[in-house]
Amino acid sequence: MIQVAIKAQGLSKIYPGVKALDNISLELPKGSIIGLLGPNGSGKSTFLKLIAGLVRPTSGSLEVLGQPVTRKSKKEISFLPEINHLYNWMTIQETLKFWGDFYSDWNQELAIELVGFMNLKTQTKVKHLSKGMKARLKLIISLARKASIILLDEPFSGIDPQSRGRIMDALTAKYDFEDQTLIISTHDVLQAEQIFDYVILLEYGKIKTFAEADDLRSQYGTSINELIKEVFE
Amino acid sequence: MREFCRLYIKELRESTNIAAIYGVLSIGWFLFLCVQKFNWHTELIFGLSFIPLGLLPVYLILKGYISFRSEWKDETIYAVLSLPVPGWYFSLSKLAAAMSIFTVLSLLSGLGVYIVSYRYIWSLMMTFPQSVGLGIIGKMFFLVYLLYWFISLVYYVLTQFSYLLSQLFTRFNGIISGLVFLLSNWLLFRLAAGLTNIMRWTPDILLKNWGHINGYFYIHNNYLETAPFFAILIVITGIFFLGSWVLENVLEV
Repeated sequence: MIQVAIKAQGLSKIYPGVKALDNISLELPKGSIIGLLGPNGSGKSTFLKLIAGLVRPTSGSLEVLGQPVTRKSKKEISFLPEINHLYNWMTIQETLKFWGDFYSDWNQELAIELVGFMNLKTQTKVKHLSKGMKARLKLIISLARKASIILLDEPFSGIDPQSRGRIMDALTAKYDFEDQTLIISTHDVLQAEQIFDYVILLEYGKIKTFAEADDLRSQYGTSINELIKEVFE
Repeated sequence: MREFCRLYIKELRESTNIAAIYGVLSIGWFLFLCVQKFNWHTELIFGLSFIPLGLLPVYLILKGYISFRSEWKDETIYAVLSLPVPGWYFSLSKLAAAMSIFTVLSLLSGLGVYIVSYRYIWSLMMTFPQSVGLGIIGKMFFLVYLLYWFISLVYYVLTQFSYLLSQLFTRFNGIISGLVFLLSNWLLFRLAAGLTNIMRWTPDILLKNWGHINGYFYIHNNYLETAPFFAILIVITGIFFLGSWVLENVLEV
C-alpha cells in the first residue's frame, strides 16, 4: 500500500483579488520526487508555502504525513524558498549552526561535507556570496536534514549552469529515495526532469495534469520538457 | 531552550552595531560635557548629562519597530515562519535582547551622569539631613530606575505588537501601525485601570519621605501602591502573547 505524504482536499488559497489555488485535490505518495511545473502565477509557490505552513488555506484541507499543517509539522518539512531568506551578516558556518539548533534531524557533518562538495568556504559571509552560491547554501540547509518532506521552490532560479549541475549532483547524492518526499517547483524542467517520479502541471491555480512522469513520456512520446512547451506555449 | 538561546544570540548580534554606535556617541557626549564643565553652569551640565538616558527609551521603541520590520524587509521572515518554534520565542528573544542592551546602556549612561557631575551630586547629598541615610536615597534611585526600565519595556512591547498587527494589512502599514500603537496604549491603561482594583492585595512599597515643618525636620512613611504596576504587567503580558500568537498563526508571507 502506498503511503501518502501530502493530501490536499478542495484546497484553495485566495489573496486579495487573486485566486492563487483553486480547489486542488491530490495525494502525493511518500518516497517520491514530484515535479511541480507551470507558468509564472500558476500557484506553484503558494502550494509549497501552504505545505510549509507559511500561508494558510482559504478553504479545503491539507495534511502532511496524516496531520494538519501546524508548528509540529514544520519539524518534518525542509523548505527552500525562491527568495534569499538567509541572514546576510552571518558566515556560512554561523548559518549552519543557526539552522542546526532548530532541528533534531540536522546532520552537522553532512552539512560541512556539502559545503565542500558545493565549493563553498565556511568562513565566508552570506552577504559576500553570489546568487549561485546562496542557492547552493540554501540547498545545503535543506539537504543537511533528514526531513521527511523537502520542498524546493525554484532551486535553479538565476543560477549559472555550473551551479545547477552541482545542485543536481548534491540532490541525487544525498536524497534518501525511500524515506523522503521531494517536491521541486522549477521552470528548468530540462535540468530536473530525469529525477521526477510524478509531475504536477498547474495552470491558473488548477491542476492541469497529475501523473507519473514515465506515463506522461510514453503517452505523449516526448520528454516532460517538450510536453511543457507544447502545453503552455 | 536551545532554540530560544540561538534566537536570543542572533538578536544580540544584530543589535551590536547600533548599540556600539549609541555607546560611542554617549561617551562622546559625556567627554564634551567634561570639557565644558569649566565654562557652563554646574546645574546645566548635570541636566544635559541625562540626555543619553532620556534618549534610550526612544532607541528602544525604534528597535521594537525595526527589529521585526527588518525581518520582512530582508525576507528573513521566511526563515522565521518556517522554523518549528512558537511565535513567542521570536518576540521574547527580540524583547530580551533589546532589554539586555537597554539595561547595559542605561547603567553606563547612569555611570556617565555620575562621572560628569559627581561633585554636584555629592553637594546635593550633603544638603540632606544626616538621618536621611544612603539606604533611603539608594532605594529611591533604584525604584526610579525600575520605573524607567518598566515603562520602556511596556512601550517596546506595544511597538512590537503594533508592527505585527500592521502586517495583517497589505497597504498603509505605517499608518496602521501608528493607529494600533495609540489604540493599544488606550486599551492598556483602560484594562489596567480595571484590573488595579482586583490587584489591591499586592504588597505596597515603603518609601521614606522627609521635610521640614516650622523648622523641625521630619521623616515619615509613605507607601507606593504596586497594584497598578502589576495590572499593567498583566495586560502587557497579554498584549505580548497576542502579538506572538498573531505572528505564529495568522501572519503570512
